[in-house]
Amino acid sequence: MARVGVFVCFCGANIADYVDVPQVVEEVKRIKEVKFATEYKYMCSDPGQGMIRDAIVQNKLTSIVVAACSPRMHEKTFRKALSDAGMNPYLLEVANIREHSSWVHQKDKKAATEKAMDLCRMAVAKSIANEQLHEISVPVTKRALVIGGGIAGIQAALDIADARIPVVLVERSPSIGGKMAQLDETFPTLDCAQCILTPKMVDVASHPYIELIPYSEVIELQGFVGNYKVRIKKKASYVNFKTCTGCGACWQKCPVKVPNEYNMGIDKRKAIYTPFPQAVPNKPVIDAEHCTMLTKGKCGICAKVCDKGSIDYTMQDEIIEREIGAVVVATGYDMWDPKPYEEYGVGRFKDIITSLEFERMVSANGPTNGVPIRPSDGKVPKNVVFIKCVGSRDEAKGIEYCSKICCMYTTKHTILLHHKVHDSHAYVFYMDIRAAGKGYEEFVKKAQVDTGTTYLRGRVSKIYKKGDKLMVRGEDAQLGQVVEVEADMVVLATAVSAPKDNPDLARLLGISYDKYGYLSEAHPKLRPVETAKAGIFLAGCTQAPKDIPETVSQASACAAKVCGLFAGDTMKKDPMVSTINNEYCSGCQNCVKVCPYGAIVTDDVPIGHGSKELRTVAKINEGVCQGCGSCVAICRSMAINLAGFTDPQIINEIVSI
Amino acid sequence: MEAEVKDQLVSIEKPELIAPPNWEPVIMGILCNWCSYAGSDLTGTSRIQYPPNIRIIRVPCSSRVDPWFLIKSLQTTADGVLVSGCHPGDCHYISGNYFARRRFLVTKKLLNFVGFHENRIQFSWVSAAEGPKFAKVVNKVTEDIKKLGPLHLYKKENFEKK
Amino acid sequence: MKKLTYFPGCSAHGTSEEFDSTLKLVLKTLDVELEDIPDWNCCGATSAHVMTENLAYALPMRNLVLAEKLENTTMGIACASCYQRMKVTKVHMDENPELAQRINTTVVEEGTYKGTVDVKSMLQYFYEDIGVETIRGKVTKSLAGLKVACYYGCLLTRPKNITKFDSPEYPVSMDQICEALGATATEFDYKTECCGASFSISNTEVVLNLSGQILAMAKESGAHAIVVACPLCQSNLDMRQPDIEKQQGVKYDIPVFYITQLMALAFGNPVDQLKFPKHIVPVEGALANIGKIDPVPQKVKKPIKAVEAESEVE
Repeated sequence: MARVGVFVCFCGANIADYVDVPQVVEEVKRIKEVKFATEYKYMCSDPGQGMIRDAIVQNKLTSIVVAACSPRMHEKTFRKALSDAGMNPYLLEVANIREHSSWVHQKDKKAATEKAMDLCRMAVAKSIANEQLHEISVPVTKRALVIGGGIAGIQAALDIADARIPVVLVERSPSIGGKMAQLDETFPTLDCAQCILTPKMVDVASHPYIELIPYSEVIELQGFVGNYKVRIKKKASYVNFKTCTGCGACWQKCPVKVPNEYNMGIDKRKAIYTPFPQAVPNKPVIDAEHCTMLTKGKCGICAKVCDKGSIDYTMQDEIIEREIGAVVVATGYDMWDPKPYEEYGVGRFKDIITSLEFERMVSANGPTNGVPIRPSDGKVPKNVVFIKCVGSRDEAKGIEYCSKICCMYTTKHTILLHHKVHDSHAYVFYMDIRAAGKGYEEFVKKAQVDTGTTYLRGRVSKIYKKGDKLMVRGEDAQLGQVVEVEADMVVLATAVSAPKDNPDLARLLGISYDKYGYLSEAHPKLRPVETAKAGIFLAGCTQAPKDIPETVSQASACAAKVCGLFAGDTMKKDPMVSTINNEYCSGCQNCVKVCPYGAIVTDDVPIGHGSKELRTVAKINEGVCQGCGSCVAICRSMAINLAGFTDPQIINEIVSI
Repeated sequence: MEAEVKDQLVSIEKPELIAPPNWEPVIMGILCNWCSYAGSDLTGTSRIQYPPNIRIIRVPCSSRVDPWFLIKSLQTTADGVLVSGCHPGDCHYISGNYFARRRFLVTKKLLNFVGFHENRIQFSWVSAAEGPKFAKVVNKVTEDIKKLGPLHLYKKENFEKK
Repeated sequence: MKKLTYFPGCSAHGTSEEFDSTLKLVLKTLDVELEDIPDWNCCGATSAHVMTENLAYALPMRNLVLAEKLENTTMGIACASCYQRMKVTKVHMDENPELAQRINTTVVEEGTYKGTVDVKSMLQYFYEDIGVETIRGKVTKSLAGLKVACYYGCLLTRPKNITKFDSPEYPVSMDQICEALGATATEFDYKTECCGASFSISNTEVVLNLSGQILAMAKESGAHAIVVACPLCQSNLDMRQPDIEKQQGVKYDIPVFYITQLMALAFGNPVDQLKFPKHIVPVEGALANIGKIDPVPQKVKKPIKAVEAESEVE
């Protein structure tokens, strides 16, 4: 026979003013299972919790009902009070008589009191069917996977590895470094990007806890938090990294020239190449698409010049498998293609370049030795127009959001232009200057003064050619006039966009992404690092555009989350998960289809005790189950139940009033 | 044949029966934890007033709601049922409310067929931010059920008494 | 023989008579028979749509309903303005059946709007239904030597979601047709700038200014002539040219052809049928370039930026 204790809270005046609490207590005492009922001013306070603990011990109660505020508020508090009294915490039910009664029926005390009584009856009825539940512990594989070797991935990998947790870092291109390795200097301090990044890249390569797998892609992820299994495709590099010394004889002699991705196609690289001189690992790979030996079977020069015999044209793609416990996704961003801006003559006028192309030009290790030049005739430009928000904040042609970094990097570009071409003049067409960040506004102000840049507030409506000049026509909204600027070169501050294969990656990992293709965080404010899938975290621009300091912060936050996850040998998990009664399961597998987490698989069990004949039943992985209950409602033989929300519990609630 | 059965069953609803004086309907509200229950909490914290007829049951997801719960409610205690979940596309459990939506359509059709007025069972999507919307939904449902009157004849105890 | 429903519009019988008559010559060569919409009415431009929505929709709808009674499923329109009104009405009616029903009550006597007839400008018809290659095949007298700036104006390709044809900012269909005729289309950045349109009468100053810029850019691009497919563009650029020259103190002397005039010429029609005397700016100077091909091709400096994606072997 159940022995239920009911504790009704005044919540100061919040409940007591609108609900006749003593009357509620009297009413619940009439329920035959209720052996104890009382009231108190603040049940959640220490004395209130003490009352619960004492009553449990003195009255040998088998379940507890607290009638107070929403269970979303204090369920955890009261569960702890039960635990402290030696009672299973899941024998608690909360009747929400504040949010659902006293606060919403303030003009009718009688009705509010009656409703509070009903809510108590329902909670009592439910609690009678409550069962003892225990937190689930799941074993953990203490190894993290980091996808993407840009600054976000590098930082996350280093921070996790520094905590002596092994890290597998997978990078798609032949070298880590990402977009940051392409930058010249970084705002707002103008540190050289290479100078601050390359030491970190070297740290990654030499760290005893980091396994760097370059030129590879993640192709499959199975399992659940703490127990993932990942399959990685390592693309054939055709170079034996173990014997290669990175001497460079091969790429010096290679006769095939290909547009150089690292330099935004401004110059050429060879078919066997390292992306840039400071690449990590500093070993070449053969671009199979362009190598004439691999495509036509002609050439083979690199193999001839290699002393070590490291070139192997027969190398195949390789599949690597690793067991891991957590994933950090740091796949970065793409630069938005400004092609839709046909009124600017994008694609027709060679002297219109994107900001990343400009970045490469002014970079000391860039294709033009750090001097910006006009692609059309090689001349050094004097008048340069920078157009901001190309693609950003443009619902008609681009994307709705602000790319966040363009205001700052364009400011940086005006400084770099001024440094490299002293007699140049920069014009900036802008919508707003968004310089929120430490030292950012100061940076913009100083740059405006130092460079004498002309800032024009307004959009550019047209660019046309006049002789060898580009005429940039736009609006100066502050003067209310149309202005035309004669430019030698135009730099488009193109938007930051999500990596185009993010949706594929998201599907592969089982996480969600937004309409732009950015990966979705679990909560925009309070859980910006986690995804909705336990054990998968996001760092950097793959979640939303951000600058380097923010990216690094988020990467370190990911590391903290991973370390937290791996702090014990097992992980604790809420016990509100589904369970299957094999005796009832008919093996229809409808539950397998509706489970959004793939937590249900099939299993073969003997037909009867000792029988050799097998039948198929469903099996729930409680480590993966999140407790939504879809499988319970779909199960036609009522073989499944959801702990905490079982059919008897809910039916008891329904019939109790 | 089918029509005949339907005619008999339609008699569950007896509009000519006048509700007893001061009669108030009981409405069972089954809400998902993450959106609608949180939304109803917000209605409370915003002190938005609504009729006191609804009794709220918390479930993790609208997909947990078995049609059995709806039938049982109408059979025993309630004059109407409201089920509410996250907006389609916003399910905390990725896709649960899509299953729920389809299941409810079928359930509603079945209950209509056996003679319940379609307004006895209502569904809505209320997010955790839509406190005012929850009050609006409860207002509407309560009003609809009041118009329909009590579920006199179908209640189990009424059968047993006879 | 193909058939095409034809909406001539008011200007075809007045200022743009040469467009209409050369269009008929061209279609004869291309083996297309025009079928006028019986009892067609004014499209409503430009006054109707700035005054009342109902009238702005009802006038084109009447034409559309009448056109649906013919067998053809495509309606060709010479005038860009008529095309715009007709196309806007069609797209809006197809997207919003309720609106269509409401507007239909105004033209109920003519019949029910069904949306079965597609609306195309003649340029679009040439480009999509006839095809550049067919046009190339009909050329008997190449226009090689003639450099033209193709001017599309504001209405033929815009707004993009209504016209769904070519690019709204840098269209190329007319350029390709001109190249098929043997002419050279210059790189002309003012293809879709505003000519001033109907301000020609109410505020001529505006037109002189805007059309003046277009003429200047056409000249700058090295063109001998401008090619258009819109009567209002033609009249602004051609008829107002002497005034523009007087105002700016520059001599442009750049004739403005309808695309159909050049097509008719290249298809071998006698010059006296092409209504050149109707032009204000004499055409002879420009046409004299035909056959005179630049002996030295313009030297293009090799760009530093690698544009070709394919690999090259040293």
